[in-house]
Amino acid sequence: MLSGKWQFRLFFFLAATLALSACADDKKYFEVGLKDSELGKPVMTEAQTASIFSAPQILETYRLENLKPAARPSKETDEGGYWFSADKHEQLVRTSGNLIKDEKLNAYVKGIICRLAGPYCPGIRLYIMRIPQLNANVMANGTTQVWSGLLLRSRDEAELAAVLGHEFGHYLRRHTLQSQRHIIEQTNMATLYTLGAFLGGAPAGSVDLMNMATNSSILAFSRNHEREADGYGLRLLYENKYDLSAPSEVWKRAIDEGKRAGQDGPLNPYSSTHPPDLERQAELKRLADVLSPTLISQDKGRERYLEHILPHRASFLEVEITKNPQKASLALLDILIEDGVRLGELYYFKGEVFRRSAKKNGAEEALKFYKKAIEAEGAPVEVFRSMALAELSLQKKEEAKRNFDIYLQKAPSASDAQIVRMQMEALK
Amino acid sequence: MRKLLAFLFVSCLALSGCAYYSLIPQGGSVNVVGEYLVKTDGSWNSRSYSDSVAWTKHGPRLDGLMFFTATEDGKRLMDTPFMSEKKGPTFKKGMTFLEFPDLLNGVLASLQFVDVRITKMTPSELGDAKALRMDFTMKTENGPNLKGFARMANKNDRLLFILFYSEESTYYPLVAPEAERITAELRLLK
Repeated sequence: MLSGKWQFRLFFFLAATLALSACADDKKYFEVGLKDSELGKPVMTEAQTASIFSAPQILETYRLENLKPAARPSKETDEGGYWFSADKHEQLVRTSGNLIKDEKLNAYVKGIICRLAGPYCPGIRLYIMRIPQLNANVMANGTTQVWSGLLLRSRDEAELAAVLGHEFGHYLRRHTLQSQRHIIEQTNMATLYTLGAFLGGAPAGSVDLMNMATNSSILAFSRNHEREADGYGLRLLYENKYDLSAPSEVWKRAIDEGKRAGQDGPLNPYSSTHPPDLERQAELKRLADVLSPTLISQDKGRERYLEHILPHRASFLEVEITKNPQKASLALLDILIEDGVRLGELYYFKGEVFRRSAKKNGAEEALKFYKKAIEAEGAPVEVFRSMALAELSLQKKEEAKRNFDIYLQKAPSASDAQIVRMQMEALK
Repeated sequence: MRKLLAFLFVSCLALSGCAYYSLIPQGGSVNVVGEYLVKTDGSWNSRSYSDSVAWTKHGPRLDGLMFFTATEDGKRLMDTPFMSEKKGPTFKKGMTFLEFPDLLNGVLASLQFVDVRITKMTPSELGDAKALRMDFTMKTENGPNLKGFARMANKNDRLLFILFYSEESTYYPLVAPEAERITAELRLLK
């Protein structure tokens, strides 16, 4: 007769075997869908990526012709399940209050996506979102989001294409599916190990170590996907003769902006989903330097880009300074000022950040930038109203009256004209 | 017996934690945030926050009438913005009507509303205080179009602020008339 302790172990073993047999059924279930062999080469590790030294090697590694981006999979498959989730998400995106519907802007960005995506373009549905962060993503079902923060921070078409190319790399390689399968495999192994450790009476800490190893493996897989997407992004830029320095430039400024905004916390290379930013920037630059000599001309598309983005820049900036902390807004504005495009608008928003801040010297600081805005090109008419408000809070009533007056002359039918006139009456 | 009492006490405590809405009954006068005396026609559901009291007829996603506690000089209108890195806007004594739209935009952003557009600004009253009325449209991240109005007044260097919003097509016509009447007829207690 087994002792109570062994009876319990036997019961546990049977229950676990039952649970794992359910997983085994799942495995068959997965294989109804996309087989791993159809995903092309396995993801590149950091060491493998670092061993690429010539242009033909890069082009061979990030081949485009063997890729098969997803056609709608059967609902019976695991991939079908991810598509179902993506479809549900797309319904929310389609009706989101953040959606920017401007036709000209949408047509322009879709054009860039189609240039990169080539034959896969019909499967991509673009949604430009008014969200003040540098980001874009392409979901498994082709739902593509481009955030206003990315449009604002890209300096030219090549930089926007660099980020879109990276995201398209994830899409082409079906990284969502690969990641989910890897997570399931790793967690199944960890469960099996935990059982073995329990039955074999392994030391208590060994299970924790196994869990750590599992998490580390999942995160390393994710980092390799990011590296791989970087490589495919670069390849797509190369195919479309875009400036190959664009990806590393985007990264360089993102790192710089984070530092200026005080957001450059230390990154643990073992517990991060993405490789360290500096490493990515350096690697992208290295690969671009290898590939560049093989391209005769490289297109930045700066004029085209500015023509389409500048009409929307003020509204993007308004969201940034309303939603983001003061330090982050100033970091972004300073970087945009360094680029030197339509400086009057940028100085005006810098003034707004100070005027709306809780700081006691906010009005004084704001006035400095409003004055710069007026001297530069492209300041909006509202700069005179804001100057007047800052002057009013500093008890400079005559100057305030003068600037309110200029504002009304320039914008007599502004929505706040009646209130401005009331304010001027009160100043008499 | 002692265990049973302890269990009942803990259960009551837990259940009272769930019941964060209370009923504002139809008719009668209500003291709201110690600042406003409000007469109601219909009933409302009321919920208190650290910096405001929010009334709703059909749930906060569809309509809301928010009474903010008076804000002193140098204080923020919202102490606890929802899911936002940026803190709520700050009131400074001496602020003019022309600065109120910035405060409204800041509060609505803190409440996670998006695409806010102030469509009209008109001089108005809040109780016996001169106020600015701002009509606006906005959306949520999940899309319904909302419409609303706010009244803000700077009285004795304290900011008084009431905000109404509602889903534009169906609920605004249902709820706005009562919200209009409440905000137009309320009395200030201080």
